[in-house]
Amino acid sequence: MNRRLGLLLTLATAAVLAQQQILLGRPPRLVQIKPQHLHSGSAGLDLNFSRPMDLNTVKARSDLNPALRHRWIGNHAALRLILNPNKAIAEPIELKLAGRDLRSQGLKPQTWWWDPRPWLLINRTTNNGQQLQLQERDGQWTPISPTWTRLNKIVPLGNGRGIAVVASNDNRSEQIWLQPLEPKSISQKPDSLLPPKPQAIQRLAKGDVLFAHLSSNLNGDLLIQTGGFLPKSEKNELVLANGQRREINVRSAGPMELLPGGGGLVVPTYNGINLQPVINNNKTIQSLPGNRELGAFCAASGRALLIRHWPDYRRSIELILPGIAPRQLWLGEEAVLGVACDSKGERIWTVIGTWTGEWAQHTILLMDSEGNELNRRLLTPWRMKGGTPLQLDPVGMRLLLTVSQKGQNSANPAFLDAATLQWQTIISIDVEEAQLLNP
Amino acid sequence: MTRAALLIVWGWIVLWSVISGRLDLLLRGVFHGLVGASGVALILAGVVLLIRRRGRRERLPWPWWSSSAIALLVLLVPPNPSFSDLADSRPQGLPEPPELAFVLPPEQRTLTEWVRLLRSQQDPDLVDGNPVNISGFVWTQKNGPPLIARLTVRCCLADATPAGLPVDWPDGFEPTTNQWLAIQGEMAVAMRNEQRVAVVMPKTITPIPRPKRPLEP
Repeated sequence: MNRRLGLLLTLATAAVLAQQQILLGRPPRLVQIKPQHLHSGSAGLDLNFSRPMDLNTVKARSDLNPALRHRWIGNHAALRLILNPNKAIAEPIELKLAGRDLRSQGLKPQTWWWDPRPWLLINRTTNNGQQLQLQERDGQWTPISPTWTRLNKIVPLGNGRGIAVVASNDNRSEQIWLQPLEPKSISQKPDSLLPPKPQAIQRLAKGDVLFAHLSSNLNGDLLIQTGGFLPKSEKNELVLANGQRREINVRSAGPMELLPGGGGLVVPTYNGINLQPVINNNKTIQSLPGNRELGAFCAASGRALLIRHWPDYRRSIELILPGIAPRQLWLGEEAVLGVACDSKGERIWTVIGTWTGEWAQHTILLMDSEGNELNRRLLTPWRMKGGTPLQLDPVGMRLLLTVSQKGQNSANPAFLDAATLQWQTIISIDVEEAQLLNP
Repeated sequence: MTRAALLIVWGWIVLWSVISGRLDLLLRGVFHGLVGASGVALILAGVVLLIRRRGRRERLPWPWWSSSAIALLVLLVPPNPSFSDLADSRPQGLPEPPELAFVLPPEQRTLTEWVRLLRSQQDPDLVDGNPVNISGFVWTQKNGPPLIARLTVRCCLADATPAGLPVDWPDGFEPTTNQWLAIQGEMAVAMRNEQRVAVVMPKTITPIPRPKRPLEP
């Protein structure tokens, strides 16, 4: 008996040692490669390896084509590639990946194709109603959703894996839907880089609601704020990127917004706005009194733009930096139609409007983080459509607006150069609204 | 009789460790109730033994005597562990963060929350300029300047994991190993070992006594 046990133990030990030696001799593998939207550059890519990698060898042996300014960060088995080019990216990037792990075992050299450019998403009125469509790289438009009578709110998920919409078929009640998407922005073959593929549509809330508001962060989490037809039927629910749902017990006086980095909320109250964690961790809520509304987040840097409404009907634009009082960048009597900022809040764009009697004249301003005006351009004969966003495309270094002309009932998507504020293109398609969808 | 007395002494030591806060150096606060209950159980066992064997004389084996000596030492010598030495010998993998807890606002983040944030989001530029208000002990490094650190525990000191942040120590300030410091300042990005990393730029550094509960969950 003892002899047999000893033999078994010896065999088991030998098997473990053999397995250990085999595993030690194996080269590192790339386990996962996916776009990362939380970064400080123009675009980011996360790479996970089977073994801790030597960052310096990955830096030295990997290559990008076209040669764009970039940096590698991270340690152990999780590395991140961040692009910081000084020109717009206009084509897919070829990434030649190589390097060694910490035991000096070489990674099998491999080539990946990555298209970090966001997709242009529009809400277009067709014969059957309103529909989401995506512009392919060759300029063709592809429907990616069913048709509804009206789309009241469109919120692309921050991770590019879907579009949440508030739809209405009767103008009295609303429904909340999610159009899931399967991104195809990374591939080992250039011709496999395709627009995201629509999956089966999902209804996110049972039945109809009186009103709904949606917000998403860069992780792809979605906050659903709904109110029913009965008193006290307001409900806040967080749908995490992994599909888990949880109710959020937060009282607000208006639409709440998820912070881009996740975990936090901007909550409007009757006295101002609050910044608080999604999950109550007993820490102090930060409050900012005054009639303020959130204008835009500056990516995931913790900076944001606020629009403040003054009692004398003036408006100001304020830059929020963590830990310090809001910094006023602009103050005027004009209407503020939209604001946008770069990832560090160093460049701020705003569209302001002046009523000239029968037509509002819109002007776009470019400011630095101190409020100094760097550039200004009149949008005439175009103007920005009210209620549509001004969005920065950091990859293309351009701004997206939905614009219309005098006497025109519909609107068009338009791109402006983010530095010169010159029109790049005004796309000749009638839309209700245009937005960017992360790849 | 002697055995009963020894049980009562050990029960008291356990209970007193909970009451005096000594246990905070060894174990997370959530488990203190359990330890306190075991102290009460030991005292009760000692009292029962005392009643049953009242008046009897016992010959104690040597392990009981050594146990008495240890009990006396525990009472007389207050613990003064070197967190820096302990941190050196522990693995670096932090326990999973409490869900969605580390986000807001930067000046309220603890040192451990900062480390978790920087490990989950390795882009130091995202936190550049954020205010920092942290406290921790000085963790000496074999290569490079000391870090400001905390020990995190799931349960007790046996599973302690260090979480350290690099600090741009001001000229003329000599951090002493294991010294507890409160640092106010802001995060900046600096090159360390050919990598961009987030570094604490102190505006004020205040020596503080070891916190009552130095271990973080």
